[in-house]
Amino acid sequence: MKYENMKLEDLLLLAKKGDGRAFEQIVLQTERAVYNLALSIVKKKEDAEDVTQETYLRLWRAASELKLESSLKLYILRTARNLALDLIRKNSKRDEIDTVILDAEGEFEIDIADDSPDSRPDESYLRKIEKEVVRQSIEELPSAAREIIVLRDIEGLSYTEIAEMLGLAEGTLKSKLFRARERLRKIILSKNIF
Amino acid sequence: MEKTPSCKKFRLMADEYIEGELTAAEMREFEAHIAECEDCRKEFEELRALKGAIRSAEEEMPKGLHSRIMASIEAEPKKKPRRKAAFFRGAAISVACVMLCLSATLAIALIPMWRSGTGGEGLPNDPQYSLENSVVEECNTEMKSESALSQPTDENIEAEQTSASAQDPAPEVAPSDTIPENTFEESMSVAETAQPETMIPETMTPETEAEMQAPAEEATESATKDGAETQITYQDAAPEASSVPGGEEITLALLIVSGLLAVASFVAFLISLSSVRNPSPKKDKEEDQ
Repeated sequence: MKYENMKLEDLLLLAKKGDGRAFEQIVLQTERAVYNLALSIVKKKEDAEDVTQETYLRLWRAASELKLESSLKLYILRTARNLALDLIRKNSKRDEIDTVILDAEGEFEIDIADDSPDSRPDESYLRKIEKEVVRQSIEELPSAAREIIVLRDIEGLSYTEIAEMLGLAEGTLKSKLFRARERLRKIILSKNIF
Repeated sequence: MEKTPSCKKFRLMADEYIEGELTAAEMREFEAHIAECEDCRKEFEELRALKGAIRSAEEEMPKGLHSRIMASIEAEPKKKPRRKAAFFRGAAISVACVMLCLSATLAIALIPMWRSGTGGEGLPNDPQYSLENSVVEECNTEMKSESALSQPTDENIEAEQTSASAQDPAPEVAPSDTIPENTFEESMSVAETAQPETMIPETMTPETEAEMQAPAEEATESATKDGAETQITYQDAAPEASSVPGGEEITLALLIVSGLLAVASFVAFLISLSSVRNPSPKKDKEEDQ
């Protein structure tokens, strides 16, 4: 049985019977999206990891009696979102910008740790700067805008799926996304690195 | 090119175009517009660059996170599924046993009945049915004999033909050996075909004609009377014959049902066995611990 080619919903049916390998395949196919969404909300990597882990624990516990009303991926992302929002309410809301230092003239310095676990040795230094600038710019967005950009532009969810997940009308969602991108563009351009 | 109201529409379409969510017609429409509208084309290029930058800024999964997730799930106790599986296993075995008992009971009760009912001819041993069936047979026999009497025989037809042909050749009549000697209706049709019209040559005298018509008419009348009586008798017998219950069929049907029950119980038993023999790897691990 090739788990890699199976749909998430079919894998869930196997996981309900206690098939651990099927559940692991569900995790493999969705963990990156869950982590990025959690990170976009909580901003801290450690918190994002905790949220990701808790998301799959809850899914495993509920799997046997789970009745899906929409896709499994949406269910998982919704669970992760709720957990991330709960964590924000518990913790402090102060943002921590550790890697970007803004000096008095408006210029900035970027401290990119080459030995960080996320850096790739094949990437050029400029490319790393660009990625870091965009990443920090996303973090500066309001939470709702950040969330929409992550779901649409990083995870590639459709308008229908995002609207269902966030409880918005599609027209409203498109307008919010348009404004979020405009704001992100201005933030990036304001960094004056290009 | 000045921005038109349609430019707003195409700017909203740009995102869906990049994600490949437009239909073929919409894609052609969008491509045609940005080919003409420089502002829209510029915005489209900027959006595509921005989305690419955002996507590249996606965070990589921290190393070891996947392992930690699976380890926490492995540590979770699983009780409900095992209890549920055990319950369904037991239920399946119980159902299989009940169905097997039912089918065995039915088979033990019905097979002897079926064997005793199927004598030499395979008819059920029902006295009422035998009696009524013999009545029907008698009626059929009577009908055959009476219809044979009323029906013009081969010799009569040939004799008439000979006398008629002596004066004037008559149209050929179909030989009687092709006329089946069966039911009353067929004998009637034969009598009708033996009408004087077809057999009477034009040159036949009125006397001869009357003689020939009389037996035919008498034959027709007697056939009608007898046929009606026979028919009535037959009809009286028919409902009774049809009211005899198909005991054999019922017995066979019940035997088939019992056979199906046996097969279904065997299948249910196999299913329950397979779930016992092939538990999930997780269950094996827990059992080992």
